Amino acid sequence: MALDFRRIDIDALDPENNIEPEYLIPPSIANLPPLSVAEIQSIGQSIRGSLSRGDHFGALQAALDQPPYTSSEDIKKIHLATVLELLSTIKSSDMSRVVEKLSSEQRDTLIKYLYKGMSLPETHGISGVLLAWFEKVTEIAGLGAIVRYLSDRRTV
Amino acid sequence: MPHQVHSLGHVPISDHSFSADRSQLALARDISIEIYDTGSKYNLKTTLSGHDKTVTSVDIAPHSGRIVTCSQDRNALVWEPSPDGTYKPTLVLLRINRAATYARWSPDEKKFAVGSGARAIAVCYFEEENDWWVSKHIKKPLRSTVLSVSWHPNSVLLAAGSTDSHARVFSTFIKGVDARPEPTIWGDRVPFQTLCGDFVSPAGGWVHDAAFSPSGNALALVTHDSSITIVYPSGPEQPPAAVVNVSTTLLPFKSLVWLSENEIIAAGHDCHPVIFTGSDQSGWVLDHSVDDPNEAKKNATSRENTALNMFRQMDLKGTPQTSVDDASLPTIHQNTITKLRPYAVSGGRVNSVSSTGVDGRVVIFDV
Repeated sequence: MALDFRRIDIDALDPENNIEPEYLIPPSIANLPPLSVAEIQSIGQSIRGSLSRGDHFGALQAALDQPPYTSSEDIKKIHLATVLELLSTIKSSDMSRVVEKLSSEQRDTLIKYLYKGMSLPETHGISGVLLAWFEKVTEIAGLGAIVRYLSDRRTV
Repeated sequence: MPHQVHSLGHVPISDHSFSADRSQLALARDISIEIYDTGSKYNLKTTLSGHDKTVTSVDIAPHSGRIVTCSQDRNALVWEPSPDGTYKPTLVLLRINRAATYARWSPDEKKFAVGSGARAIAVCYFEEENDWWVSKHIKKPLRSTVLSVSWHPNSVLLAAGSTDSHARVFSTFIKGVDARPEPTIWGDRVPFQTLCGDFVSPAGGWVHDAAFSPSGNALALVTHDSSITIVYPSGPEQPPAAVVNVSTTLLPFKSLVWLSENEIIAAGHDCHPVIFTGSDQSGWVLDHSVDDPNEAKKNATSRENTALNMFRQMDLKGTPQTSVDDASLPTIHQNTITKLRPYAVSGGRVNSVSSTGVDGRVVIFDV
């Protein structure tokens, strides 16, 4: 009946160590409303529209501005599919020009999408495209963008 | 402007501090503190042993010459200099149950603050009746290890950077030790442990260092997301007038020093310092690198580019490169710079900074 007191995880029982999950949400997106399926699909439609009109840069900007940070995982996957489709469509000769014109924040978001794309087994068919984009972005954004991807709690 | 370089062994240096007249240097290295006589060559004068685990921080008070050190053994020691050059240690009871990470004297040298892994900052002052150092804890909003503490010029406000990604400004006013401070832009009535400001960087990450500007009216923080954030408060209990964030393409910085109200030098995992310039009106930008590795690579002398040399290199090293010395980094520091301290001030501006890091070198950069 003796309690195995030497194996008690005393730190887990310490009330001060409890962190509420809300505390972990970064303050900059605390008030961002989660998007619904309809909303994310309409964003996807408008992006595909710009793409068919030939406005590759505008489409990429729209895709990378305001990513659905606070939405559910399914919504995030839908937007990821849109971004990856966009990245495969843009020609490799246009890549450098497009990356140069992006803002620093948009480049950071692009790196997040590239890493997320590379992490999924479904996308291994376009891995060459993703790596080509990665090379172009790191030429300009350097190691800082990768470190920001690692430390940023706002996940796409 | 040649930079002074002193290679003092290969053991990483956790922290360093020069005495006020720069004639002595204290290095925190492993479990002891080494005191060097400076000059054209740095000679080891004494070694202070009193800590059982790695010494994480050392600070020499400019006027009194007292040294405060703190260590992973959860203790801080105050070393009093005696006329014959030896130091007498006094244990300070910090009452923390985790490692102490950072210790700094206040500008008026009546108190010192110690950050710790116990999610607390111990503010210590000397109590005359009992003839020993007493500590008071700041715990409330801190959720994780405190990585750095930095004093405001009025010796009451303290900026603390923490691994919970927040840089906070606290009041450490202690009745009986501090005179009532003048109202500042951070707040008017400031009892102990008042939180005067709480700031994060957009992409998050540990706050490695935070420091007040020379006037105390702005706060700069370097975070692990490779960026520097400068905060200009507008008044107590109000949102800041400006929060400027500069993301860089470099690796994260571990330490920063304000050179003047409009210039900041920061250094870290890239092994060379970098200078930012700006103001609250015009924003901040990365100005230039000190000890730029790209400059060093351009100036590197290349060996004879003969075919014989190329094949010799391919046989020896596996690549035909002859001009780049791959055995060492192109910068002066060969490993991360962990601490920067102002070295010389003239005309209201810091003209040189001293730096130490994981490679065991002490370098004084002219900026």
